Amino acid sequence: MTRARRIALSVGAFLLFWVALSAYDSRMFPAPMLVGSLMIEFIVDGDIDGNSALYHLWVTFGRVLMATALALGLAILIGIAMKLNDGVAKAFEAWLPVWMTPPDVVVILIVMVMVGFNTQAVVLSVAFVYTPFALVTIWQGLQDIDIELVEMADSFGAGQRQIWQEIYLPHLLSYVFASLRHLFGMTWKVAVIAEVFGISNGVGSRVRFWFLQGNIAEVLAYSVLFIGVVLVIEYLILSPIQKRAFAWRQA
Amino acid sequence: MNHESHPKPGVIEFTNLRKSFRNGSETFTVFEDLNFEIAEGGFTSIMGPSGCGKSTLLNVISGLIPPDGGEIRHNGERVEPESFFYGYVFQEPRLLDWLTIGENIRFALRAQEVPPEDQSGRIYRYLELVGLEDKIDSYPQQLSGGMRQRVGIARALAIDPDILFMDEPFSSLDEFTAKELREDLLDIWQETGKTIIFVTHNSSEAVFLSDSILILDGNGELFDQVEVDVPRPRSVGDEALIETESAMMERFFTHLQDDPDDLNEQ
Repeated sequence: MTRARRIALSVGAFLLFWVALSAYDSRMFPAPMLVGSLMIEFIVDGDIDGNSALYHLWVTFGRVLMATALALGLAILIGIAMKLNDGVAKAFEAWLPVWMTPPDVVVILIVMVMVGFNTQAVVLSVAFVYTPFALVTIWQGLQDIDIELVEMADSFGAGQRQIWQEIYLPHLLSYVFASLRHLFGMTWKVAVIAEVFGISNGVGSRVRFWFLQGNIAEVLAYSVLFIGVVLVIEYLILSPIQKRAFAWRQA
Repeated sequence: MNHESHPKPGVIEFTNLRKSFRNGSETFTVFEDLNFEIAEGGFTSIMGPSGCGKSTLLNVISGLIPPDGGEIRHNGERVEPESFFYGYVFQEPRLLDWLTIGENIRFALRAQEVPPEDQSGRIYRYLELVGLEDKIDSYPQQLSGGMRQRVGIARALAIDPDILFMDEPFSSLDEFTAKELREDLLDIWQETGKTIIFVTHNSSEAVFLSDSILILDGNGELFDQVEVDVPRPRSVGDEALIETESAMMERFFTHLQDDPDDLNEQ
């Protein structure tokens, strides 16, 4: 079976299952046709708040992007500091498990109380939640550096700068990418939760609105749009970039 | 012995070389009172059982780790170990997997601050020397183990060192590939005229390649230096080589019988 046929078959099976569910209870499980037409309506004519669904997706996407960049940037900086200084390494190793523990919702609420119900609050809380996860991957990468390569560089008289530029950082890049893809899959979810709590735009705000009206179909329409955007980013942007950047891996 | 009065041209002399490591309160002597000579432009091997300190000796000669005592003279003049300009070939190729073959060699050239305009020409020349000029844009993981080791040799030679240090460079290759690389190494050596110091635990490899073999026992004692006078080009299985090797190994095992402790790693 070709790849295209496999995909068509599994998507078909999924839709069939959905249709069957809606036939069983159309109020709880709105039919895919209804959800699909709502999606088109929200994109083309806009939601009842006057904004297109694309606008809300874009706002959420911007927040996710900022939060991910902030988490990853912080993780890289802290990781490098840990690598350069043993004291820093010990301190963060001790505190990492604690930093990873607080429930997302608690972090979101506290940050919102502190900085207000705005984009900064979403970005900061998401970054706070995911920096330790990114840091674990980055720190792992910095520890996995092949010491024999550094010895080799030493034997040729390479300086610290060249060793960082051509050994540490390229080595780290594959961990940064792994971390980025992993983070992207997770930051979306927490960003939307944060939006549900008290932001007036973004996908989360519309999900909250329609949920409060008791309209499942609209909630589903936003969810499906949202999943679509995440998948497009994953398969059409991140995956090809990773393939190109790591061409050397295809032996 | 007064070295000042007898300057030997083209010879690097090592006198009373000593190295030990401290582990807590215990001191472990790798070797002491080591005296030997290396001829410039020659092919010298350092041989001995595993753990005898071959690699440590190589690291001391190359200046990667400082000796605890002893002196080194070049043409009769005293020099510091780090004053030798060397290229290092390791047991594993130690290439940067994310750089192409050409860029891997450029890494060493940049480390040596070779002017950028000279780099590409050198990269090509030395890849050609090891027969890999058509792989210049390949990545290390696309090459076989033998090819990767050739790149390691090209990288060490590309900086145009005075001495080429090779630390068991063929020991992790299969025997067919190793045999091919040994022959090519000899061609490269003749073509470049480099001084080669080659560490191995393989006696037939040492005899086939070398002008001179320094043999260490398990205690890091240099108890034999064998000159291999067999004319070149040599062929594997040459009777004169086999005779040299068996005489050498016999002396080694007789030495061990006299003092069985010498095989032990401490």
